[in-house]
Amino acid sequence: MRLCIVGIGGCGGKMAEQFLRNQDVSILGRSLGEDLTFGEVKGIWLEAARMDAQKQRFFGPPDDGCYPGYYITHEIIKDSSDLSKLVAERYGYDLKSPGFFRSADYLKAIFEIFDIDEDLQKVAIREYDDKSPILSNIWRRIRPYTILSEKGGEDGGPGADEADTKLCDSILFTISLGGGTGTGFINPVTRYIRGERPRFPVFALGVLTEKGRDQHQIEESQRDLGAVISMYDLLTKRTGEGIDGLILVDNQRMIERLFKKNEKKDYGKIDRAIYGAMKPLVESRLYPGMECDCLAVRGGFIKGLYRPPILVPCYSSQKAARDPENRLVETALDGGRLFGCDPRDAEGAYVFTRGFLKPDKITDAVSAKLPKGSRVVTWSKLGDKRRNEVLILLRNPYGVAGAYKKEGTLEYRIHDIIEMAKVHLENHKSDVIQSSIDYTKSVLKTYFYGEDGLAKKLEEAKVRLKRGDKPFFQDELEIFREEGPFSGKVKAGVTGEDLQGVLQEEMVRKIVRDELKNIRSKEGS
Amino acid sequence: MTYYLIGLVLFVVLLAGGALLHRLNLVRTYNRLLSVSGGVSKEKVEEALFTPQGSNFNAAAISAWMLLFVALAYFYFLTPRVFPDLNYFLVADLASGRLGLFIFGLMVMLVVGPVGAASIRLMKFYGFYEMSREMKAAIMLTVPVLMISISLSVYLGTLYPAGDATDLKAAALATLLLSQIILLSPVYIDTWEAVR
Repeated sequence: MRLCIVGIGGCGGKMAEQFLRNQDVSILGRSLGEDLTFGEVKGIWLEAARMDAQKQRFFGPPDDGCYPGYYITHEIIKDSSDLSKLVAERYGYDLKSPGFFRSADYLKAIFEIFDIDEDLQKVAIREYDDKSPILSNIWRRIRPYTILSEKGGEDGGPGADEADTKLCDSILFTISLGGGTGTGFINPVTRYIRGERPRFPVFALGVLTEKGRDQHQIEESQRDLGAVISMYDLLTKRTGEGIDGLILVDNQRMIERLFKKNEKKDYGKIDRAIYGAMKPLVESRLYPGMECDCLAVRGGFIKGLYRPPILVPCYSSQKAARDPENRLVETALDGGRLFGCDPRDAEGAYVFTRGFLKPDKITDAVSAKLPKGSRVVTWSKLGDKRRNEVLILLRNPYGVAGAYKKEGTLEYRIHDIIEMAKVHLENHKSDVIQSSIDYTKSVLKTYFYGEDGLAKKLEEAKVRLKRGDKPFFQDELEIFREEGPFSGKVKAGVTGEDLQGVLQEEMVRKIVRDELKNIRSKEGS
Repeated sequence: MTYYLIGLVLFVVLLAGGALLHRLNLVRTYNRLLSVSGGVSKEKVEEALFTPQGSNFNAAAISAWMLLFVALAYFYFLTPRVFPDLNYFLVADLASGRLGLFIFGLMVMLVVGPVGAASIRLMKFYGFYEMSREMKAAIMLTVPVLMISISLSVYLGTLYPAGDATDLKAAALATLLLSQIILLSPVYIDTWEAVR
């Protein structure tokens, strides 16, 4: 299993940086050979804010041949784009927005309108030869790092060489669940991937922001609304359509573990700790004779589910000692949980170890902590000989009636953020549905406050959490629905016929231009 | 003379010790792996344990090992000080020529050539150990350190027979041995950790 790390947004990029650090030495700051990453992962950073991308030095502009590189997601959209104008006029959205600060619904809305509005699709095809140029360009940047590029190799990336066996067979998105750029891209990009290979493993590592004000001084309720929208979207896609697992990390928990009260928070330290915990998953050196096929991992994660699972990572690292298995597992499941939960509620566990540990003993030790009959699978990998490490991914460790009242459970934390999100929805109604276009305003109102809107769904989720039902988020929600005025057959603004005319006119112009060129060149010679 | 011999003995002991301990580390790791994962062949274990260290590091490590032997030859075989019957001064015409030092260096490189070829295996040797970037950087820094050792030996050779700069000789030997210790440090550290 070799992961392609796709960091999205500010926080996602910083996490991706940890995974993509060159393990080789450089000579006077320059690496003469190919970068060597831990686990031989590859990756890219997707960012909407060019300024932020230019401020940092780890990722470089890919057009300058830099690796690892960043990609500005809306770069493909030209400044004087008809498509951009149409989106702004019709929906009030800016395709070239330099960031989506704490509004998780922004990108969701943008990608939905491309799905349903045929006018947009036609203009996009006319301008960019593609009905969803932003998404397809993002995928074009990621694809060369994956085995999917072997199929064509037309991108000129590593995939052009069919003998290249060092391509990634799975994708791990790293994101913040604070509701910025991050999650908005995951579902649409995943759909592209599924279009090419339905069973390609796609996972997401999502970090829930801490309680109180964060480093950007943003209210907790606003961030929690973003987190809820993001999680709702990721967790309500049908299995096989969306991601294959959301690995959840709680920044609040990380802060409590890593810093003393009132100590200045070094977010880099949190990123390093999360990366350290993920090393057993990323490590590529398996015990001889053992296989860790990415499809087997994916299959395990989603087995028997109709919605993607939540996976809570529990990590422990100890110096090599005699019979370390029980102690390692106990420490991981006790103090090593990266998101609050009760392991006794988990449906199963997927264990990745590094070091010299007996797989059977590890499996037994984990099984003993989980409900009877839970599925536990262990993949053993080699480590650095001095330490033993274990990463246990607990699948859906929640679902007990009344557990939402108990601090430290997953139900408690999720209930808490839903509550906060609801407070934000109630107190900032005008901000939430703010738009310069009446139609968008009404659509947002329906999405947030309608009969089947988010507020209602969150109320239902709370009830399900209280009852201990799984999953707590159920039905998919859309902002722009099929039955809208611009969906399907066009009803307002620029008509389909007009566009057809525009397209035909363009074609005639092109033919005439080419013909004139030919005549001139003949006359010249 | 004793001073030189102690240096040479240390060099040989460090090298032989490193080779022996590396072998023991391999066996120990094989046995540890055998105890947790059942029957596997030694070849498969070596293959599984291999960690790529990066092309920059590999290039630096190979250069460092080549230079280590060049530095050794310059220190011991450039003048008749240590080995009166086996040194470059025995071919006085060549040694005192304008390109004398260059030719000696070239000859050493030719002799060390097989070491260079063998050092391709170094990638495998270092691939057995998980090394931090700091350790890799230290190994890379042995290249300039060995250049210092070589420069000092060249200086001493040029002065010969005049002067007997003990400080410079000590510095040349110290930089040579220090580099060797750094180059072999992954083996010694791994052994130390295991013993602890």
